[in-house]
Amino acid sequence: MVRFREGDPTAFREIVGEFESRLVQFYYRLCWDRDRAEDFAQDLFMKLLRGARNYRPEGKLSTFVFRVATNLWIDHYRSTRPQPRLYSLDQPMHGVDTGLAALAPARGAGPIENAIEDEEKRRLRAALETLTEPHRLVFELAVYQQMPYADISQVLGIPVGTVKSRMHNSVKALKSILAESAEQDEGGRRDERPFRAGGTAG
Amino acid sequence: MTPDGTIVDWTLGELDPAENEVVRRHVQRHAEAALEAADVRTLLEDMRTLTAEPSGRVEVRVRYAIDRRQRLRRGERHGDGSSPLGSVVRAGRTLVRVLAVAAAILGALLLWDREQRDASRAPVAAASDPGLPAWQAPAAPPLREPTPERDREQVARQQQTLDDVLAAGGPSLQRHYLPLRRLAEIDVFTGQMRANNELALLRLEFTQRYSRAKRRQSIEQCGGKPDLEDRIQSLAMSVAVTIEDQIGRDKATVVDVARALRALLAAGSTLRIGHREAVAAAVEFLEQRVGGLEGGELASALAALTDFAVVTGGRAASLVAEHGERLANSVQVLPAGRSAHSSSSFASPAERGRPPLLGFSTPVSQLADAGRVLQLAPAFGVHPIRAHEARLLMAAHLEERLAQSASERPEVLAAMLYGFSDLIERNALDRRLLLWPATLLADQDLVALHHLAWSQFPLRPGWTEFQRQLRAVATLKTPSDVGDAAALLLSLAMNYAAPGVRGVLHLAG
Repeated sequence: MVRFREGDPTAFREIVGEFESRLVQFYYRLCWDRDRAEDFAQDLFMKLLRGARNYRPEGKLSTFVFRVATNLWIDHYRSTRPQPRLYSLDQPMHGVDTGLAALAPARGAGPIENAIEDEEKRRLRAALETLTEPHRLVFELAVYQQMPYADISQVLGIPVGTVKSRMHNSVKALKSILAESAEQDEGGRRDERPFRAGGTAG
Repeated sequence: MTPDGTIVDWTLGELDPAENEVVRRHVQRHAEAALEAADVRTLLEDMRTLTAEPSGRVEVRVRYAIDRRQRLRRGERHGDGSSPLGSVVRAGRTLVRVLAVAAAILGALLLWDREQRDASRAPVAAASDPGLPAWQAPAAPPLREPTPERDREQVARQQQTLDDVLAAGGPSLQRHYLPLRRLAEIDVFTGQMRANNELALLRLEFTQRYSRAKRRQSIEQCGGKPDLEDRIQSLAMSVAVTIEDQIGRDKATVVDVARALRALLAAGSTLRIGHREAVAAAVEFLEQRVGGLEGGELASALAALTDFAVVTGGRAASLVAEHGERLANSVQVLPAGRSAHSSSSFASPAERGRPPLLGFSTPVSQLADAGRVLQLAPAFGVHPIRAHEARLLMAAHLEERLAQSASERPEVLAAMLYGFSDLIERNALDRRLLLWPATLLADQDLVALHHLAWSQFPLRPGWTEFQRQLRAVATLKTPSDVGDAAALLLSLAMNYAAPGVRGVLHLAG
């Protein structure tokens, strides 16, 4: 960022190259729509670009980038919180069944195996959806972005202890939900009430 | 026994070496802990399979923004402190800024004064909200004042050219034209008033959609989910960035820019609100090129400039007046050197030297655009009878295309409803279009879907069903082609951007 501010145009391109995929993934798992995720990522880079003049190099760049990314998402989430997310059950999942590559049979996997894999991913996605937004953010940063708790604490502006407890609660909730859905698949009785981890956001 | 959650921290590598060793030993000794560790590891690995493959467009767009920023920065550097002339240049720049502010204040006062004088001529009074751009009276008279002498001459000339065009079109065109004309004959006054009212209505509807809250409210009133607005705005962002990029790289086509501009205006952007830079770039692109365009491309460009003129008036309105005449000629003037009487009666209709917009190679979507432009053009100064006759001929030509086609042509049906619904009997077309639900059209032809969506309005049969289908269409991924993305946006924005919808909602309270 400092190099870019001082007039090196390649510096920002390097930042884009380093963070583009991570940020698209980050937003994708929050909104489940790749195009919107890309719009968010683009919005974020524009924010960084505009704010480059005021950037003060304190701490890691990744912490800074994800702090801005998280704030962008939280702003969006707050503005749409009363409404349910707009996505269709028929909507294809990116990385699961979109594009020509997805249409071609995977090496060694037949249509039945592919269908089982898709079903499994839908189950995982549904489980992730049951977490509250603060828990999802911690889970996302810890598991997908592989950030240390201390960095997550800086990104989200919460104590490390809260990060830990949210992470533990998230894993516990996911295990419980996935076990429940596995039981349902085996013909177990369906419980209509979804489990929500961390009903009180700490 | 490990404390609750330690296994998670251990799996994520969050423990210090001493704690790490304790947990590792514990896991080795206790089968239950080993199982839990394996469970957590499997869960996290499974969860990491939920990924999306980036399309790469973010990088392209951001790179474009960086380059543009660098270009601007290079421009700024001419006056930096390192140059010996730096202080002189800085002083000069300050003076230029002071002069610019003074000029802006003077310009605003002059504009205000002119608006006060033109207030009686403007179709709708400027809204009081400061976020809404004021309608600026165009350089040419905005509303044509009919004069009997001019009208008589015009109508006589019109009849002459019409005979030539019908002769060139042959029996096929004549067969479809004559019933339409009998049903939709108008006089100069009616034609002028209809266009004026239409312009006033569109302007009023724009005032109802420039704010996000009003757009969401409109969607809700129409039976849609307010979240649809987020999808529309995300599409608008995508369209704005792509079209600005294409214009900047000189890769944009007139049709794409026109559709993108219409989409951005539909989503509530103007030169002062929303994606201002993209709107400005698209308007400039079209204003520079419209003079050299002909036929279908001229129709597309004018459709966008007309939408822009509805919002702002000014230069765009003058361009619509000037080039609207040329568009009417594209339907009513035979190509140079080709006389209707000299053409062989054995030649096919396509070979008979028809006017450009009545040829079979013109895309249907551009005929639809031409229909809408000429419906409104009298409000900008095009003669109402001339515009009306041109629209009748185009409607007849679309019917001709339908009759000659062996298979169903949903895009022709949608174009007729969109551009010519006031000239045709629409119930039969509506019934035929029931075979083409929005979800199916979205898969095949997004422009046809836009035309169909914008020909719907509340209280018509099929409205509720169309709204239901639109929810499924909203979940489609953004098309990679900017023209298609704009058409998808236009379709989704129907609940506040389609002509007439806001009016009906307003009446319904």
